[in-house]
Amino acid sequence: MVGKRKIGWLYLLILWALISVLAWPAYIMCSTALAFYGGEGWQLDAWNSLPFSELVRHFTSGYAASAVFAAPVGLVAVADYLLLSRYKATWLIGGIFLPLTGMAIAFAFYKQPAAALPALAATGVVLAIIHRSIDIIAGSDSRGRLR
Amino acid sequence: MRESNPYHPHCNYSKSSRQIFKTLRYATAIVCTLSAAQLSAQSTEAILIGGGSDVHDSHVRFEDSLIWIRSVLSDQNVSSTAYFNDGDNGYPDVSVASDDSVRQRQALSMVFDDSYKQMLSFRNHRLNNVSGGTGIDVLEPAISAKLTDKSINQLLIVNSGLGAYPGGSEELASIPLWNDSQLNVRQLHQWAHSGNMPVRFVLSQSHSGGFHRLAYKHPSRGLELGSQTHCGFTASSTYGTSETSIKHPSKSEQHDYASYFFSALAGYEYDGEIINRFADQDDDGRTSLREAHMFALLEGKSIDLPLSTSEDYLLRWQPWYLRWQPAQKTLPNNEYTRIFRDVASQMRIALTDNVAKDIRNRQNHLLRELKDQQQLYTKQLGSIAQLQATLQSQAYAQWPQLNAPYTQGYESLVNSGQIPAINRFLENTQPQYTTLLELIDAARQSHLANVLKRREIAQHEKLIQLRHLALLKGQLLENGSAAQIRDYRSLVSCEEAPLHVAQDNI
Repeated sequence: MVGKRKIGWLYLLILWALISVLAWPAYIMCSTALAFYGGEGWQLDAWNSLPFSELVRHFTSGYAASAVFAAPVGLVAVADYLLLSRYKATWLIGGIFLPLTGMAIAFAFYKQPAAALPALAATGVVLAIIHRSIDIIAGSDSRGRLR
Repeated sequence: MRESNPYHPHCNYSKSSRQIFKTLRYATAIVCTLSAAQLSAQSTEAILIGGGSDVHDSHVRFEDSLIWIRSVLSDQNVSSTAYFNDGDNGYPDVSVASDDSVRQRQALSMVFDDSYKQMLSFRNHRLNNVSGGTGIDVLEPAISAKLTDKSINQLLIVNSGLGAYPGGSEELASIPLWNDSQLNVRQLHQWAHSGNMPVRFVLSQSHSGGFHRLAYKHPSRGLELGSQTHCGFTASSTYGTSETSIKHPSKSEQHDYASYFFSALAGYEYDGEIINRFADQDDDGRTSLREAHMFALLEGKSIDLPLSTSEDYLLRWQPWYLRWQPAQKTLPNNEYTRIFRDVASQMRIALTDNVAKDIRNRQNHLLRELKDQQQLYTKQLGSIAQLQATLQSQAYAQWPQLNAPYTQGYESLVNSGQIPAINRFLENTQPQYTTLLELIDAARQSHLANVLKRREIAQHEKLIQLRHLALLKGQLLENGSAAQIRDYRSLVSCEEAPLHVAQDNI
């Protein structure tokens, strides 16, 4: 029982850390994909016009600055897991809080939410997929949490 | 209590004085106007730097450009001091590309020189009243002296020449000077920030964008502006090359940023042709440097991607949470959007919702074409080198001294008058020589085609940059802090300030 609880805590810790760490790269990936699709975005031109080191510098400085958002997003993933993974019906929609959080960030922090919404919502979807994949790899299945 | 003269705000009189001098008001106004005009003549001074680091690098177009810029500035009542290559020492310091066809050139040159040197001849420069050479030992005291000269209100630095950037910090971007010295961002930043006047600059060399760091407190990082507002206009970013770096196959191919910029100020182009639109956008009767820059953005058809300091600020300002965000399709209403619309219209690009994607697709198509052209050009150069090697070995067999230039044997060969015989041998007895000339001709055509293609690609890059700047300006005004917006506006105001300050007050 104690061992199972420990594994549960460890799982939550890993989930929080992984989602927090992957939030910024996932955002960059989604933004770049959308920029590529729309034909316009800073990164598309920076790839050709700036030295790679400069691109990396912007990425890493953004990584550090975004930690203040990424850490709570990791907690949202944990809350999502705790709330939705217990029952089969809710397990099916597990991860839904992540795109919702992305949308909430767009509306709460951006002066032009419409411009930020697609990339942040898509980031939430990608993080939700990661979250569900971890869930399945860790042993959860359609019957519910960590059986 | 003092009252300001509404017509001449810098000429103030007390009430009593006004009574006394009432009848002399008109005369006083004239005196005030004259003194202001005199001040205007002294207020702005330009330092013109031109040339390269050696005679091969110093193309004649740098000299032509500097002569023209000096005359344009003179028309604007701006006195200038020119520094060019080796100064007035009389040795050849300018290379002139010949427009001769390959058949008019010496066979020896075609067989032994590379494709660029084949076209060159050398002479001393033709600039009058040059104050000195461009060695750093000359420029440092000259610029420092101007920056502390109390009779000058502002300094304008213009460079017509080459640029260099070794990589790493932006403060290392430099202007290569005569005799392998250089003027880099760090040095100029230090001088400009120890002086007591605004410095403005117009730089047409490659990697010139690094010099926008003059506006900032630190030469290599940060967004904080210095206590004195410096600003300028460059032909490229720190990382980009400019038209001045292209070795043109012909003297007549001159389309660099400075030529568009100063034609806006002059009202006519480098060749004397009147420009086809007014650069004075606000109709105030004079063209500011910012308006000249906007004109160059609109009219320029070179490989340059010009940047002003306020634009550099916009590019640096963008915070992490906006930088990576995909751009919106709708542009805000500002000057960059208007120039984007006009340039797109010149290029017959339809302004649909997918315009950004269309531009990028066209650009990618052109890049593929350029790659093919460059491969062809490289292949042609390879064939030329191969043929040259064959012809050279045949000439060495008969005149072995040719293989050892700068030796006594070579000198005696030249002095014995055998050069015409060697030329005849190469021209008449070698069947490969005709093929070589045809290949050189074809390679020159390919080079020119590559330049034209690069210009076409740059037009597309410019469109994308204009869209980016339009969005950035909108973002700054919406998301920037009050201090950031104030800093941006101070840079714009620096760019908009007229060249001759005191005439504003007349």
